[in-house]
This record gives sequence, structure tokens and C-alpha cells, in this order.
Amino acid sequence: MLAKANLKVLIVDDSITIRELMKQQLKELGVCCFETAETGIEALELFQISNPNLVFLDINMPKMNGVEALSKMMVINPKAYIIILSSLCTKEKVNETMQCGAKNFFMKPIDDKKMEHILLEASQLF
Amino acid sequence: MDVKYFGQFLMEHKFITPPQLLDAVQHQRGVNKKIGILAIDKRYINSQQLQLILDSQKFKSKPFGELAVAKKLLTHEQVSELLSTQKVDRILLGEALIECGYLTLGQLEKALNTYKCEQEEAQFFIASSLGAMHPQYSDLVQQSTNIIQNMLLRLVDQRGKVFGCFEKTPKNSHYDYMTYQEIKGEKNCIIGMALNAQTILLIASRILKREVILVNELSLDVIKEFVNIVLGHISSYLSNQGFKTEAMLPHSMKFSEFVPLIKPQTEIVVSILMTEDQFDIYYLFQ
Repeated sequence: MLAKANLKVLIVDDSITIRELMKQQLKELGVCCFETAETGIEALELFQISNPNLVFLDINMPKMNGVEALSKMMVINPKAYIIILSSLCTKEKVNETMQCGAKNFFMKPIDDKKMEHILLEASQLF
Repeated sequence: MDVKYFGQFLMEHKFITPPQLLDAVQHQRGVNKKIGILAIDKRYINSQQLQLILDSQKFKSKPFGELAVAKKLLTHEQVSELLSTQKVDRILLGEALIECGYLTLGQLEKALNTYKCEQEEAQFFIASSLGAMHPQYSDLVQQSTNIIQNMLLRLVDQRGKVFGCFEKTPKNSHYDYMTYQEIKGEKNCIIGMALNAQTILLIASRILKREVILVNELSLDVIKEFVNIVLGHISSYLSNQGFKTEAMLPHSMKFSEFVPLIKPQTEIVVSILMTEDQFDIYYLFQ
């Protein structure tokens, strides 16, 4: 099991607000190692280079959306631990992303309790 | 039953007379000093420099502090200090009425409680009436109003007032920026949010948990997220009703550059109009 502080987290969201808020939240919860990406394309590059333990992925983004990025990440690493974090929670999107291999789907913003739970689950896998 | 401002409510319920209200508002204005006056009081700028900043504010819809910093008349630290002073010293109408001796604390508490109950009833009545006029959107109005109101309470400590479009004509001159986002597909919807610069800074500071003094990419992105969250709930609602829709990306721009987007196929329009002391939520169904 990996200590929470050693988890490598990738935050993918086109909103700088969400990236900033999630960085703050993760820092407060003891995570020190994270990278951020603004688009699906940037996320894929970082995913290949850094091989993160946990990815928070938005869906509605310019250039490459989250569903496409998710599919490509799962091809690169089928065991990737990817959580979809979106403001849109439609049945189709939940089904589509879960079928593509996402571990879970949450609506933004995510509260500390849920975040703690995700971090614990992810850290137990490594 | 309609939504009223607190001053209007106090007069109608005979807590105060119209001259007393005027007197208290004048007292409130005297205490709640503008940032430029505070800067003069602290001798950070002189009256000519104040005029220079105010003149440039006529052409650029930017906050006073931002223009003063750009003109190198104030530093970021001085603007932060002045904004904090402004916030600490600010008084509300009720406090002004007590300071003028027109209400006791007990009378104010009693009036506030009655006012809050009446406003909640009025809001429920308006949302229900809108829902009754458009039964297919009744739940949507209730749900999205709840979401917006909860966010407003968290971010600006107040609830908004709900209107059917356009029972009241919005005053466009009050707003500096516009953010909007669209849902397209079997139902077409636009969520728009018009704000003045001060309100953007207030909301951005609350969300980012630090003082934000510039309207920039970050503070406008905070507003986009506000709209995005409201849109997300509406989109989820439509999905649960069986409609296939797609959410577009949010956009922000200066209010003066915004071109209204409502087309014949746009079925739902939600507009949130915000200045420091007025928060209105408009619904249009067509």
C-alpha cells in the first residue's frame, strides 16, 4: 500500500478554478505530488510520461474531451485508476465512461469525505 | 404576493416612515465609503488622482482598485487594505436604522424574521406560478432555483429574487461581464450570468479562499464554473426526463460585447443578474 503523500495524482480540467480548488483540497488532505492538465491532449502526454496512480478527469473540455482521453488512457494502461469528475451527470455519460473503464463518476465539486475515500482506495492498489 | 426590498417591507409594515428610510439610507451611504474616498482619507491619493481614476472608469469597465494599480497610483497591498477596511466598516440598512434611532435591536430582529418568512413564501409562490404556467418545467424551475439560491447563499450570503421573463426589465448598464453556456439537442437551453466587476471579485474571493482584486482569467473562470454547475444540474434533469442533449463550453465576455443568443428553438433561458446588492433570477420558456 502506498502512503497517501506518495500518490501521484493527475488533475484534468479545462477550468483553472477547479484545478486550483482540487490542488488546495488535495494538499489539505496530505497529497503532495500532483500534476494538472487543461485539455485531453495535454493529459494524455502527462499520463504517458508520469504514469500517475490516480487521475481526476473532466468530460466537457476543448480539443479532446474526457471520454476520448479516458479511452486512450485505458489503452495505454488498462489498470489506470481514473475518476470522472464532471458537472454533467447524465445517465448516458455515466454509462459511457464506466464502460470505458472509469472507476467512478462524481459530480463537481467533490467533498472532502468522498475525496478521502477515493485517495484511500487508490493508495491500497499500489 | 411579490418580492420586496427590506426598506419597502419596513415601510409597508409601518416599522418606519418614508423620511426615516431616506435618512437611514443617507446615513448608510455616509458610513459605507467608496474605496476612492477611503484612499483619500488614508492619504494614499489626492482628489485629482481620484478624478483621474474615476474618469478612466467611465471608459473601462474595470474595478477602481485595478485601474488605480494600473496607473501606479495605488499598490496591490493598498487596494487589499482598502477593500478590507471597506468590508469591515460596511453597515446594512437595519444597522443604519438602529444607529439613527428609528428601530431598536428587538424591533429589527422581529422585522427581519417576518421579512424572511414573507420572502420565502413569495419566492415559493413565484416559482410555483412559473411552474404552473409551464407545467412541463415545474420541477426544473424548483430544482434549478434551489441550486442557484444555495450557491448565492454560500457565496454572497443572500438569496436571489425570482422573476418570469420579463416581468421587470433588467438594467443592462449595471453589468460589466457576461458568462453564458448552452445546452443543445432535443431541448435547447441557455444559462446566462451578468455581473458587475465587484461581484465577480466577491465570488472569486469566496471560492478561492483568498482576496482577489483583479478581474482576470482566473476570476472569470470562477464565474464560468458557477454557470457550469447550474447548467450541469439542468442538463442532468433533462437527461432524466429522457431528452438527449449536449453541453457546450462556457464563454465569458465584456457585457458591452455580448450579443443576445436566444433563437426560436431555444426553449429554456435562465438568466442570473448580479450586482453587489441585487441578485435576480429570470426564467423564460418559449
